[in-house]
Amino acid sequence: MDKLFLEDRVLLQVEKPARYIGNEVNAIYKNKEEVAIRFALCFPDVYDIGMSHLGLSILYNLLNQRDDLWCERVFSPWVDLDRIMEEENIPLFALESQEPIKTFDFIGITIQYEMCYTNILRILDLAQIPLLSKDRTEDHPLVCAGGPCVYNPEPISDFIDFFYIGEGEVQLDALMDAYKHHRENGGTKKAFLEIAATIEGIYVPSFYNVSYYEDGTIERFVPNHPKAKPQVKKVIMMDMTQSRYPMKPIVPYIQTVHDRVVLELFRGCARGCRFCQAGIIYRPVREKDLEILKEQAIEIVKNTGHDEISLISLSSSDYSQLNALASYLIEAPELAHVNLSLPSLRIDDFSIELMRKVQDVRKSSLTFAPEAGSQRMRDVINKNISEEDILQGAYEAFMGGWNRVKMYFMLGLPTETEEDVLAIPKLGQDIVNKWFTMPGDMRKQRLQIVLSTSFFIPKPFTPFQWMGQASSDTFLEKAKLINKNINKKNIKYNSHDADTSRIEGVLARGDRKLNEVILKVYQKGARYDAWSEHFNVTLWNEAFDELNMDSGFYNERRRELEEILPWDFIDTGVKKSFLYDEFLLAKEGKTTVNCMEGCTNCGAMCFEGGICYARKT
Amino acid sequence: MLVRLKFKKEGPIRFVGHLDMMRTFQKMFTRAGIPIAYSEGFNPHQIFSFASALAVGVSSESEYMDVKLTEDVAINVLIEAINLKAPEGIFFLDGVEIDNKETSAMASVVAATYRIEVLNSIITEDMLSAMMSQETLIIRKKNKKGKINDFDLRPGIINILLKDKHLIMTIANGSHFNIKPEMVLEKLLALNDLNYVRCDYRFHRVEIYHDHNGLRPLLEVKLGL
Repeated sequence: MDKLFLEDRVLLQVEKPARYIGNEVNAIYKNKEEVAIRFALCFPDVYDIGMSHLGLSILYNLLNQRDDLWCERVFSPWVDLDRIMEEENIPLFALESQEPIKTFDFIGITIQYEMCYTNILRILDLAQIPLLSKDRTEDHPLVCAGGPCVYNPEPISDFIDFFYIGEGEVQLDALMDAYKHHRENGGTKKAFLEIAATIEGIYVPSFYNVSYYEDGTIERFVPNHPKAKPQVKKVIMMDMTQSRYPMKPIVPYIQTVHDRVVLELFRGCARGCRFCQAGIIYRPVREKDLEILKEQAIEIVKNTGHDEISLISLSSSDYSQLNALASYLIEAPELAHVNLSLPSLRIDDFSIELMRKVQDVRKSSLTFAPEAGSQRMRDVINKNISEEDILQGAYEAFMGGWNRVKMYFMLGLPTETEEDVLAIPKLGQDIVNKWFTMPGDMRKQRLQIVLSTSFFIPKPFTPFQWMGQASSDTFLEKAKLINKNINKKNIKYNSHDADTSRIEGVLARGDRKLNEVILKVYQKGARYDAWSEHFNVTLWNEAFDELNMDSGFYNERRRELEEILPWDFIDTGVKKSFLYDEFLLAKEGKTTVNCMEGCTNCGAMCFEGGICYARKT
Repeated sequence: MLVRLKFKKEGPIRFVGHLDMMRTFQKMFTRAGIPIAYSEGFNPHQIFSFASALAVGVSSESEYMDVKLTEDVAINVLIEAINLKAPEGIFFLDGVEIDNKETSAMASVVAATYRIEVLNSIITEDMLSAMMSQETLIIRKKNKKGKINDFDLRPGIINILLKDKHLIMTIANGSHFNIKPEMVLEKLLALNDLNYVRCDYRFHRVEIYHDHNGLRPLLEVKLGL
């Protein structure tokens, strides 16, 4: 493809013009005259971030396996190009064909974090497509969305025509088949929504009505269309070994966040940390077979030329074949010049030994995520790691040659006291003390500990979904308390932005009334809210004020069990009663076994596979 | 085995900058499965180097690189293998085995020829001859330490002419004496009270030279000099 949509004049004005030229190795080109469906697959953030996302690569591969469809990529133009496109009225285009997306059949948006909602509106706006679903006509693409955020789709339900709840491998083909058939028979795009609504996992928000009590909570959530299902059940891929994995992922020209081969070990997580949404919505754990992973590693390296392989999952230590896989990847002659990187490991002797084998100790720092400082607090969140584990892990790491340690914590967890907060700097200090128990000749380098806190955000489909989020002021006080008590000699302390956490908390558990707020914030100029240098909380505060709405209703308010939550109509397989039982156990500081140790009957067994059954055989 | 390869860079990939080209070529060599040599040490990397960096947005029909291989491969076989895996817009044209003692492409570059398409500006023969008749062409240039110094372009302009709306210039390039084509353009316009605007021109590199009894394209080396 020699065609570029942007003129040289424009490309020469912007930072990293290679973000906008397509043409990368393994990008897929088709003859647009020969395809029935044009699909713009969109990640609403900058190219460098979006191209690092495995889900996007999986969907791109999946959709393009169809001969009748051309799936192309769209990312948010960076702020420099954004400005030029606005000034010169340049429509947003797809990277492959370098053609405007406003005439495509579909715009499919993957939504990975709430703070990109204004970027979604920006994408539609730059594409010159009406923002509101109801204002779009047959001349416009159908706009659909998927990803973890759509487990509560309500805050953006006015902008999206339909949502896909679950994993793309399962229903995308059926959906596209149905669309093609419908269009060939002369059906309209609007009418296609009625067909989509009947497909499992698909939610068409305009087919439902929501009424509210005076206090703003939901009175009724009911279908207004005969084709609309009262409950929308997520769809997930049960046989991960047979799932279609991208063997020829695109190789970006520019440095992206993850510039390497990514091997997906399994989906789901057995751990059951009570703050973690991913740990619930992706249940049950479904592993990929060791042999297929070995084959895929070799072939993807051959097809991309990457010099690093990364293992990805929610908790890589829990992969039953981790040792065998890591040994193979280290020793395979085909991978002689390929490094292995191992994120998301639990800290124990085994993983320290493994990391020592594969990583350059001098360059890498070791990351621990105890999430909470005190044992009591870790029991509340069901993070089953003891202080002894952490200190012993740190000691092993120091003896292994590491002198840089990063630690992640959350502030504002349910039932948190001052004592729990102070346990964070204390744990940091205990680790410093561990360092000094090492023989002197092991301590030639300077110890560097970085301690980071983020603010706890209750998310839908977690046992904490009923909890109130702490106010920004409370967060800042807690952060200040840590800062005052930290030993600054060896420990560096970072704290996340409280305003961002507040807005994320609002959006995460929002209802349909938030559509108006998001639209207003967007119109006020909000862009790239996920980027601290672009996030402007004033715009959000103004929007709430002007609409006479209270953001605290969404994030700080404590919900009752009886309340209809905006996302209750989605069925993740995990029962609401299980979440509530977990909530009660949390308040008592009682832990729950993980799925490897025993079944807690959460409900995910309804998918008839994965760890729920593997454990039994 | 040490080889010097010649390739062209055309089309959209001209917007990929020098450092990204290095990464792109590393991956290309891995995909091509050629027996490229790796450096020793903790962090082994492929042993290859470009003759001269090409600025973002500039295309070229003659780029050069030196590549070290662990075993002998016929040049045409090597080029075929690489071209099969090269990204669109990169095409390897030719190559030659060079002696280990040969000065590296990077160190031996002395000059380069550019063809600059004048898209939206007026440049005349008179402007060129007026400029070339000057003894010195002083510009202000930041050195590596960020200090601004006077710098004379004139000795670096080996040849400059106008041909069907294209400015063709051969100028000094390399580590000893390096000037950029836009410096010449900027000076040329300044002498005529005009401003230089980057997007009024399209830059294309035609050739890169070393000094082998006069300016010779980099591929012209004698084995075992």
